Amino acid sequence: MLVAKIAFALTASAVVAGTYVCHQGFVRVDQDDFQGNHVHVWIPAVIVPVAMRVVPKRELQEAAAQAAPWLPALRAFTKGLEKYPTVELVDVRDSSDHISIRTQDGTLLISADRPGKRVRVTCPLGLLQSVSETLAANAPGI
Amino acid sequence: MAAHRQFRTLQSSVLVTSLYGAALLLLPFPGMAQTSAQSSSAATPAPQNVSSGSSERWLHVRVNNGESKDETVRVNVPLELAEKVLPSIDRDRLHGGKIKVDDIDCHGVDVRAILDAVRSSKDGEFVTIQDKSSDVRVAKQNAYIYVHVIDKNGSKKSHVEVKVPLKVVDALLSGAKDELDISAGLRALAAQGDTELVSVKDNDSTVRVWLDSKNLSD
Repeated sequence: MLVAKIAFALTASAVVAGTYVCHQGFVRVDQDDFQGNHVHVWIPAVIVPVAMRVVPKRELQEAAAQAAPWLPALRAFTKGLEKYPTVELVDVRDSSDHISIRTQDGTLLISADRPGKRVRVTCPLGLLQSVSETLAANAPGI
Repeated sequence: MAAHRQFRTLQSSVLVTSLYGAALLLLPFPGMAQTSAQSSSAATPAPQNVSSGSSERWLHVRVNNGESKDETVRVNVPLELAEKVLPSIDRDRLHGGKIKVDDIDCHGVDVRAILDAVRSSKDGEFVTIQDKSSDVRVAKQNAYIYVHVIDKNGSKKSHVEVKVPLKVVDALLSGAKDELDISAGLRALAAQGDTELVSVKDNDSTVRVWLDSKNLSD
């Protein structure tokens, strides 16, 4: 009976943890070309802020210094976009290429298609805001 | 008795976990949304919600090019978002939502002085040019500045119409003498009703820039 209870507790915890991770969304980078090269990176959004806390301070400051000129704009952009969870911002297409930037259900989606190549990047807006705030906190003079 | 107590404990644990899981499942799943968004973006990039709050103002840019209209540019910018982002950009000539115009090369033309002169003058037609190749008309009427150009060169006839609210011009000129206050211009633009600002039409392409309260250009 004890083993059953432990197993149940572990399963329930896993289900709850899995549900929470899914709820927070994923950062996804998918790149496919028709020569057979495929890159698919899925990172649960929930682990990114945690990972940023364990990154060495010096590395974080270096990254923040590089991004510093654009951090205020990024923060304003991500904070402002919270009001627009589902919207098409930019869509450019011609006979061969198609580029799209939009939000859907609180996620920023960037897609680029050209003959033989396809790139998709998705990132929850809340995560972008959290990352930009963490970088701003580590950037000198911001 | 002990077995019965254990069963009751297990039963209540299952109930609590189920309720918690159900509550989480009822919340929207961004992760799942991404998956559906990805599959839909490959086909048609069409966000679902079309209308927005009456106070929200959107600037739309639409370019159609090519006879088959297979080259398109669609840009939809919420003015409130632009108002927030612009002051935070501090690059080149753009600082705090204002752009320095003193060193912009306009072939010796003082853009600010011209705008100021037009703003303070009475309604009327300022420029009228009519010749074989083109008709040009610049006028001020009902608190708008209008620019109409008809290019009659060759077989390709093109029409350009630009309509700028004077309040936007006032707002642009509200800063220091050597700068245009873009943020103030956007705020003034946001206060305008639905209006078409720029329209360019020729045989090959159309360009439209307009303002409304919808978040989609179509």
